[in-house]
Amino acid sequence: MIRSLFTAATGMQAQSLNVDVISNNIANINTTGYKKGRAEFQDLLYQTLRTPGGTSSEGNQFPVGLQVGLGVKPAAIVKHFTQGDFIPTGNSLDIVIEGEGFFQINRPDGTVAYSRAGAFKLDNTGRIVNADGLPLEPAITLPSDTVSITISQDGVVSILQGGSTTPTQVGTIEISRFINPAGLLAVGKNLFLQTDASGDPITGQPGLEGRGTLNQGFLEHSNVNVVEELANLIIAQRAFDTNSKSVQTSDEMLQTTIGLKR
Amino acid sequence: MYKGMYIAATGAIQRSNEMDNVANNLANVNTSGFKRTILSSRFYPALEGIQQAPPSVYPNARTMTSTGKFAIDSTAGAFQTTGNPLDFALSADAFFVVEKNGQQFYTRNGAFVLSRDGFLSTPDGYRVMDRGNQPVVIDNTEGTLSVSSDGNIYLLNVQQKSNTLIAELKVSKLSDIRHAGGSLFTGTETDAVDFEVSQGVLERSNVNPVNELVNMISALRQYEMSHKVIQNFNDLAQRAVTDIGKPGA
Repeated sequence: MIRSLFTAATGMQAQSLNVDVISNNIANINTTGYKKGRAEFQDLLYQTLRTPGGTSSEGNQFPVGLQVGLGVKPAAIVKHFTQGDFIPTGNSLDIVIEGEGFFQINRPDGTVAYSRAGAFKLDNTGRIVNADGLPLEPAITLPSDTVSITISQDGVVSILQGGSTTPTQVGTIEISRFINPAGLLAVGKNLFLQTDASGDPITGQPGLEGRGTLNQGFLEHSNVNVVEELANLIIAQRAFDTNSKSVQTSDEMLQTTIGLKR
Repeated sequence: MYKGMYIAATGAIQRSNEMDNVANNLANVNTSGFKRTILSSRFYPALEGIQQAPPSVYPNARTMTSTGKFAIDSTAGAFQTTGNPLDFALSADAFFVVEKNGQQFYTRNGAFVLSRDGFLSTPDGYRVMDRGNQPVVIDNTEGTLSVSSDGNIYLLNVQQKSNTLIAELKVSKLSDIRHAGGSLFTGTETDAVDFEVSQGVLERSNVNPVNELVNMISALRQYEMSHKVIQNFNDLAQRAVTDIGKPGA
């Protein structure tokens, strides 16, 4: 019976983690390039009270065993890299990746982070940077007399300079894809880092080797679905509730037993 | 003295086991692919082999209660559409075959991931097996993954208009099912014939909270009843000592 108390406690912990994950999804419902997470659960260990096939007295065999489970454990919080909605913005530095892939962002410490958020800006030196001012990798710098920017589907950035009628190519936006994007490490600020589980980045021009293509003038919204999250929230809350009933009942049973001795 | 007290105690112990079982089912009410366990009790004479004590020897009867039936309810849970291409669900009674370090297990939790080497595996690193008992490897560089209902994995390339078969998922039926924890089962495997694999769908737990709460209440009340019986024997003993045995009464 003490067993059931702890079993129910694992259930409550798991559901509370589930609510944490769902809340974070809902909080990021309007975050460009956000990918929803989902908590996965597995049943915990089993205590075998009687082994199936064991022999009772008189040579009879127990036809079935007796296993009591000890609760639930979180197995993983998996990121879902399905595509979010594309919102047209008309801004020439808003870029989406249609298909798989990540923009490469150069972090201040020299490491490369990966991001689906394509809301780029220009800094005071003309470099293409993200909202936090971190430049693309490889960096692309636009001359100060740039009039208009065109980004092709395969990532070539061409500009039109003042007084000129022929476009000039200033660089190519390279993107990376991973064999297991779910293995990437989310570090906040729309950035992901490569891990052992994600595998090495397959980097290059968009549209090749399974990488998606670029589209200018759009932003990728978060792929969180409100209806789905709210349904999951209700399930998580109710699951939490019922587990608390297990705790209450175990407590009542203990109380009954303690009441035996007056 | 007071055999009935021990008999009542077996009842209380059994109800407490039932409560453990209910608590585990409820803890897993939100675990993908979980199968609830059923624990019920039966009466048995303390001496195995004696089917029934004749009524005339009632004072020697020692009918106690013990675990009668333990089973895994393998009915399918609800199916939830997730849209994730690596989520798989199976029709009733069939299991995916997974392996780690040469040990084979079975699971209905089809929330798979791709490892860095392209192995289709569970979040714990158990590799999903194909019909040739080899781990399923998926190289999705040249297209997108699609799975047919008979468990064949295809790589669909829209540009080249090709649909290449890259793996066949192994699906088995199980007898003598046992829980191994971590969403895994062990058992004796037989080939599954009629099954259906759905992609982008997950099977929820088959625990019905209503059932479990009813079982919980029934376990609790029967537990309390067993305690009442113990208490009555206790009162009897007390009377014997304090009232009947009172010197000079």
